[in-house]
Amino acid sequence: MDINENNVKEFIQKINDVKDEIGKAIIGQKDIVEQVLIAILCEGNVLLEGVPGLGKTQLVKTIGKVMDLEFSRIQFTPDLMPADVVGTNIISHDENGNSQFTFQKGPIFSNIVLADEINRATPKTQSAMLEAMQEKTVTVGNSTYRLEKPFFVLATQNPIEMEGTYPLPEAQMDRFMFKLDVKFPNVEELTEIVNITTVKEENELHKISNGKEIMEMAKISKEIPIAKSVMEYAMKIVLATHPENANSPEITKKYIRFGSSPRGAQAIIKAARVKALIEGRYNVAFDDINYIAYPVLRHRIILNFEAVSDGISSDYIIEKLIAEIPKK
Amino acid sequence: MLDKQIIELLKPIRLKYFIKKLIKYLSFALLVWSVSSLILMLISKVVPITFVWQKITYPILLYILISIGWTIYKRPSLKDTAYLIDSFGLKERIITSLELKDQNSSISKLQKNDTIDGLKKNNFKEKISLVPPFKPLLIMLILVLATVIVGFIPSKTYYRAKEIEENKGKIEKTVEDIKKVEEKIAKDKILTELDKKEIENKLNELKKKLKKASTPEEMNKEISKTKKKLENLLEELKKEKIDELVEKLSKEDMTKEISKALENKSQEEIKKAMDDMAKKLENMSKEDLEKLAEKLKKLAEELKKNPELAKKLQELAESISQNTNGNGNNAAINQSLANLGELLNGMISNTPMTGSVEDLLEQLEQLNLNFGDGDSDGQENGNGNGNGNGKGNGNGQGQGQGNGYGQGTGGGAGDGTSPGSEDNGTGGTGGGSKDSSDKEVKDYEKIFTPQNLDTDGYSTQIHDDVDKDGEKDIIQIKKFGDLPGESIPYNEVLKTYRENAYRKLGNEEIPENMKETVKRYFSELE
Repeated sequence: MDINENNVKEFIQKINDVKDEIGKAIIGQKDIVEQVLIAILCEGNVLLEGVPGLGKTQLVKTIGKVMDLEFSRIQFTPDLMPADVVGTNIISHDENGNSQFTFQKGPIFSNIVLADEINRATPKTQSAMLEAMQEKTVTVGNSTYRLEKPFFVLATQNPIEMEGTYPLPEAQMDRFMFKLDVKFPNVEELTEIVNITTVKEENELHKISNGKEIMEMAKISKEIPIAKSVMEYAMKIVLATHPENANSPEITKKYIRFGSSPRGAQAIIKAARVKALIEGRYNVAFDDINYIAYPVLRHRIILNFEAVSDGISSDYIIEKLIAEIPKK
Repeated sequence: MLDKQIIELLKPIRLKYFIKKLIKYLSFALLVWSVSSLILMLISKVVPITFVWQKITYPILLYILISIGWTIYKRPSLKDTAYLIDSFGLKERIITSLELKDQNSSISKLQKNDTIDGLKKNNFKEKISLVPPFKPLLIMLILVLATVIVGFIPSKTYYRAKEIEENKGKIEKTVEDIKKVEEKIAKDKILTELDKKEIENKLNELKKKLKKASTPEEMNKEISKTKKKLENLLEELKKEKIDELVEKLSKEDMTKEISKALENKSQEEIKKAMDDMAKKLENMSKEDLEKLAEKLKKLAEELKKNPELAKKLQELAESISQNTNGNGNNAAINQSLANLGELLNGMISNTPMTGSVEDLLEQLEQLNLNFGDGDSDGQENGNGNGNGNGKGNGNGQGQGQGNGYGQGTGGGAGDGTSPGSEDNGTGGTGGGSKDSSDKEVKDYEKIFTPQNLDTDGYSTQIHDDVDKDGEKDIIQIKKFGDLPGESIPYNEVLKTYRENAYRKLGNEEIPENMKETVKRYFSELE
């Protein structure tokens, strides 16, 4: 693909415009917004974790509006069935009055799917999402239906309400490109949130982009070159999460049970390219890798009991790995 | 094009980076030097190390050269420079551009242009600081200071090292002196090339051994050995020459007598043979004289090992052949005969073959004396048995017996008893008071000494009276002549006796212990 400077400038401008537009409805959370956009441009799925009321659902809705993407929401409950997600065949009558099976698409057939409180659904229902998230297809019976691009899933989960929940299995966790921790807003942000939601009229959001543009931007980002040393650095970080690796740091061997899969490495490189482009650069930097490492790896590192008992978080381990691994 | 531009922009930065590395490695080299200097200085307080200050200061050049060499070896590549500049805020633009070298895709061009913009907008050269690293230099300064302080702490090993240095200095001077003598030997016209080669080999061996020696005793030992070897060699050479001469002269009637006299090594016989030859020459006819001259010339040509003798024979032959009157009694002939006789006498006597050989032996003897029995170091109390001629060995600061003889300051005190020979008036006791170690050179008392010093004398007999059995005893003695003696200062007498004794010690096969005893005897006489 031939890229010129205008393409890139338009890309950067578009992203900034989207961010600004989203900023009208979502106060603060700038990193979260940027990372979600990066994931969208990488055609990746995002898992948002945070306490209720932080605007996770609002964020997804806003993105859908601003980017002119079809949005659907699935509220996961323990009694939710797979057919409720992907759709089912129903009996209908044709014009001649003959009975036939017609496939009724489920809410998953959308551009952005908000899987709210995904950890409340049963593993069977959760796995119904797996194929769609990874393959961008849905299989019902003998038929496979392709999901319209762009497609990605933004799932949310509540870290507090653990009773009656089904923790996402590692296989499903691995299909999320990013896991983002939505933090509680600070005083200024909270004040503004309250002002916007209680006093002012809700801002009207404009459509800044559309699905086609998103796809083009995704193509552009794939062209961004990455230096060999930067690539090696990213791979070293992923390998350093494996305790069985002889060269892994001590902290890995002490606190990690299982390390990241190769999907983690793929995710880092894809997202780092987009990050570089957002920064206005035509190459990936070490800083991009360091920035992306957190959302990519925090749900891919499985901690052992010692880490849990010592109160060690994945982010802490990632921070130590970044500090220890040499860049050249 | 873009690639070249990027490389051109990197070049000056790379150069400055190189200089920065050079400064860094130089600083570390100096640090290592200062550590090694301090260690060396500390060791020198335990083990004597010669020329310690030179050994500390001279290697600094080596360290500097090594650091320069190392910097050149580790000189920064374009890649290294790229990493450095990227770390200043270009965020891997340069390294990516270098990897995209020769690629012409649109994104590659965009990336390279972005890099060029970044390089041009910022003066990255200024960001490379040439300030040397502070910590290593500070540590180096502290260590250098410590080295200097430790260096000025006095210690026994320091003085011992000084002694060794002095000895080394002496050795070098000795080697130089030997070289001078070697040059004389090389220019000598009497010695053959083979002779010179053999002497040279012995001297080279001596030089090598001297360089390995560490104490005056060792040096003295080597010098004595070499002197002995040279004397033996010279004796052998002399003998060869004499044997050759005996053989050649025995073939001719005119010279047979001379040949026998040479074989018997008798000066009287040589004198008699020369006289006989002179008489015969007086009575010889012109033709006989001419024939004799021819034979002598031929003989001279054959004497390859004796160039000096060949010359004398040649002169004699020419004198004879120039005598046109047929008169064998000719002043020139007589002079040539006298010269020849003198040369032949010299060959069988103890005198050295040539002047240069004489110089060589004298030089070696002098060296023997210089490196005699242990130089006192002057710092310790007393007992130096120094023999150095007025070099102040055993002098000065010692308290005690001050045995260093000679003219130096603080020259020996000593309880001098007179040496004297058995039958002369010895006069007073030896000069000098016991504690005169810091006195100037004093006037020695004169003692009467016959003028028979420095000669070997000659054998003679004393006939006793006939006893009642009609027998008389005949006693063999050595007589030194009948010349009257004179009063000579005691120290000169002592010196003469000592030199003779040392010469004998060098020439004779005497056990080392006995040599020590003799030397000690003389050194205690003062």
